[in-house]
Amino acid sequence: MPEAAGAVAAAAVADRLHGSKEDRKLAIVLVGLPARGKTFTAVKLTRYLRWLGHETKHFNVGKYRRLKHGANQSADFFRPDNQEGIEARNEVAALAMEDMIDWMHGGGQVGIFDATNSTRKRRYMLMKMAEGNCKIIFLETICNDRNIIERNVRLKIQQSPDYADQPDYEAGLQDFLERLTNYEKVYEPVQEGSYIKMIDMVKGEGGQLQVNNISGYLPGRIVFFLVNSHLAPRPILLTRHGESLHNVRGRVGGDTVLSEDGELYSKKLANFIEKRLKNEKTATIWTSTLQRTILTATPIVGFPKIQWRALDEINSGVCDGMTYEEIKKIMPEEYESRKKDKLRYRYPRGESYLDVIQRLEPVIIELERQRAPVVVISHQAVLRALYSYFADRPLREVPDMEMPLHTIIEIQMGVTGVEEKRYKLMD
Amino acid sequence: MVESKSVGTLIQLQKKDRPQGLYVDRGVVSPKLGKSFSACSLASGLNFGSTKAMPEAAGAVAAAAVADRLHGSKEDRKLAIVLVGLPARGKTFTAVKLTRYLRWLGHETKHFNVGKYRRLKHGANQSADFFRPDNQEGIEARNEVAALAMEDMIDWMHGGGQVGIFDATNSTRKRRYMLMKMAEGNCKIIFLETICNDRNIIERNVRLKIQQSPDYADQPDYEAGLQDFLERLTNYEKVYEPVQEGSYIKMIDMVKGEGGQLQVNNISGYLPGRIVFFLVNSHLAPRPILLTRHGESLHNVRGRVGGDTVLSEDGELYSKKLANFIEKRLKNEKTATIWTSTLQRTILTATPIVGFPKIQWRALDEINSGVCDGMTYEEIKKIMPEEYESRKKDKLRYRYPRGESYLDVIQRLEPVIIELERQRAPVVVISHQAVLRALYSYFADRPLREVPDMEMPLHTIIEIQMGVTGVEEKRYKLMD
Repeated sequence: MPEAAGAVAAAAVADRLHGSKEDRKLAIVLVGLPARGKTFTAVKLTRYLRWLGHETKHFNVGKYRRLKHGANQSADFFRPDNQEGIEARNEVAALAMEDMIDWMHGGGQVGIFDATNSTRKRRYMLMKMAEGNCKIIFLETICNDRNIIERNVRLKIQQSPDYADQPDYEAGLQDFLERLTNYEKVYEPVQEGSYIKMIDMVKGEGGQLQVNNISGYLPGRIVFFLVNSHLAPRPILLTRHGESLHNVRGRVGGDTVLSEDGELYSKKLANFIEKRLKNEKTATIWTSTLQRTILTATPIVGFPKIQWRALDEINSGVCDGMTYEEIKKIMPEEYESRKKDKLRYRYPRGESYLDVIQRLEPVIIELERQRAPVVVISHQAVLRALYSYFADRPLREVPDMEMPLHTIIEIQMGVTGVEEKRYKLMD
Repeated sequence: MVESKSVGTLIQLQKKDRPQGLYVDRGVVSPKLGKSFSACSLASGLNFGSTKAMPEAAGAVAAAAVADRLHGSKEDRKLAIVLVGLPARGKTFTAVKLTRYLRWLGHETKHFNVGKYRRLKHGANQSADFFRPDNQEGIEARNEVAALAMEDMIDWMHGGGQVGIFDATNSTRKRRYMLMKMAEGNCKIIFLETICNDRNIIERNVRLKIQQSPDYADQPDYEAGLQDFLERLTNYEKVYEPVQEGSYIKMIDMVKGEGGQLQVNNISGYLPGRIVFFLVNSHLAPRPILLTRHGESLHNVRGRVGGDTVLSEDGELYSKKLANFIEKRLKNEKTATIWTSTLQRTILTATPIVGFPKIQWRALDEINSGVCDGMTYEEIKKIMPEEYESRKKDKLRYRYPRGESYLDVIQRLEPVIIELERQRAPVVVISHQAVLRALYSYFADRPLREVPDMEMPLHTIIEIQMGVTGVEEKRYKLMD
């Protein structure tokens, strides 16, 4: 009997029954000129698939090249007529691909192969290496907006290890633009195999998506994620409800109102939000359907509020309303089981952390889709799961993550990834 | 206005003078459809209102609706999906599936079949000549009919409709520009183009049309009808201009569900994203879905709701009969899967079934009756009369205290529906009464208000045959 459950399991079983063995492993091979946002997209996708429970790994071929040939290759290394350079780069790509296939044999499920892969020849080499090992999908990023390309180039020069030793910004820029030109000369857009082409989609508005010969659960989910996510910067603020009466008594679950401290926090929170979002055109406040989050949101004015059942605290089933001491005393085996595997343990008639993660998926998709700031007022277990998505923490860390009361975590989503700030409004 | 007594940790509700009643979560329902009631109450002195009105729906649909409302223009809240494609390409099949999916999610959706308008206005017996590109009168008549249907759709949107599916060939740029002009200031337009290069599929569709279309109902001679239709097809093909303008989704050879291409241009927003997701996952290849409740449980015998009890003797007997039935029914299938909930009674019902993988879905668990779990309806009526009354009044939106409403159940079933659409092999779903009502209503395209009172008897299997022509249903009562 399969040990997972829900959509991921049903799909996995279906794919296993109908597809060939190699279909269970997926290689997402990125294609695109430098500075098109391939790595940003790869990082987001890795984070999403991993959070859903798929063993996913990002293979950055540039890193392999830097390891093998050093980080200071000039644009000449990348010239299309530099035979030595070409062979060196093919060798490095093949090395990275072998590593990825080995990793899949060892249990990996989705490998994200991040390189320009801009010639048909290179892509055929990868397809040949994939045969009998995994299914390949090309994910091509095309950008025609010179402003975006320039911004990406500037970011690269500032951040890429290839230019770490290069104190002269201008010289680094020139060299990179030359490298870019070398790539552009031989670029062959994807026409072969199964592919997803994203054209001018970075802003999240407009742009085109072309999907060719894509079928299966994961590819469908990937298309859905890509259609909904974008790289436009905006903040997401996460906070627990103010201290509740059950918190004071150390009881789990329940649907109690706020304590005095909790009420105080709700006022401080409203102040903070008013200041923080002063310059934003719009924003929304999301709460759960339990009183303590709704009451925490009450002093906030001026923004629409939405209640999500999906943001309700983990359902503690028969243990609802008990203290941990009571659980330990009355149901010692349950107490022990939970301690042993807090991630998978499911309260009798209740939920596990894995269940919570599964029901949070629509929330994650909607957060990715939103362009304006969102304030999420929720509960400890739910926020641990949400936060681990943005911070890209492995699932096993989720159940014990620090998620203190009366603290706001600000997640800045943007082009360079995810940045975090914490504000402790009260002790 | 509903008032409730406190139960456990609940606190007395404060009376409010808002005409709509108390504000609580309304699940997936769009703002027009009404509220969810629950005895979950809040402390006195609360002011839900701010200077801006609080949106009345909740969850993903609501969050997205609010976001789109804040950022988009007024016309963005209404969506017209304009189908494009030669006849016999599967446009109407796709339109019907999409309508069913969006409606089930809670969006006010309507399918406008322009062919029906034409038949109403000009009769059903137009020969292929009516459709010839050089027949000026024919062209004007058809444009007039299309404009009429479009006006109707826009009126319906002004009256509260949200997603209109405009089903016609719409195969020329000129026609599409006319529609785009009519849409300006009224709704957002997305073209959904179906292209099929597989002659076998086209021929099969043509045959189905001749058999079923009202245009050929009076035509006893099948061959003559076929010839006329093929001629109509040729007339359309002569002037076909594939979509290049506006926001569009192009589906090329996707009917089989394997391979094919999808092109998405300038698509953004919650609904368009969901539509793309649905189209990528659904297909028209035929396969059956079998729905059944668990065998009778001990709580069923005692008339208690919820719980996690084992099967009664009758229930155990049903599980054996079910296993027999499934073995025979799926004998010729290569593979199939058995889906249960995580509650004992469905897992036990599935136990005698061998030879197929079994998967447990939390999403298939019975509706959570919260504080009423384990009670009989009489007990609820006696101990919590206001809850009992609230539920009777609006069973669809009523949420058990600390539990769920039917709308909540529908929302959590969405991944199940998507996966059922995606599956190519038979699936046996062993679940519970409320959940099956919700699932069944999706396939049978019943309106949401009918869901809570649908017949869903024990010991009966409903077989849903999914296929090209839509959804067919059979019922097998294995026991009394």
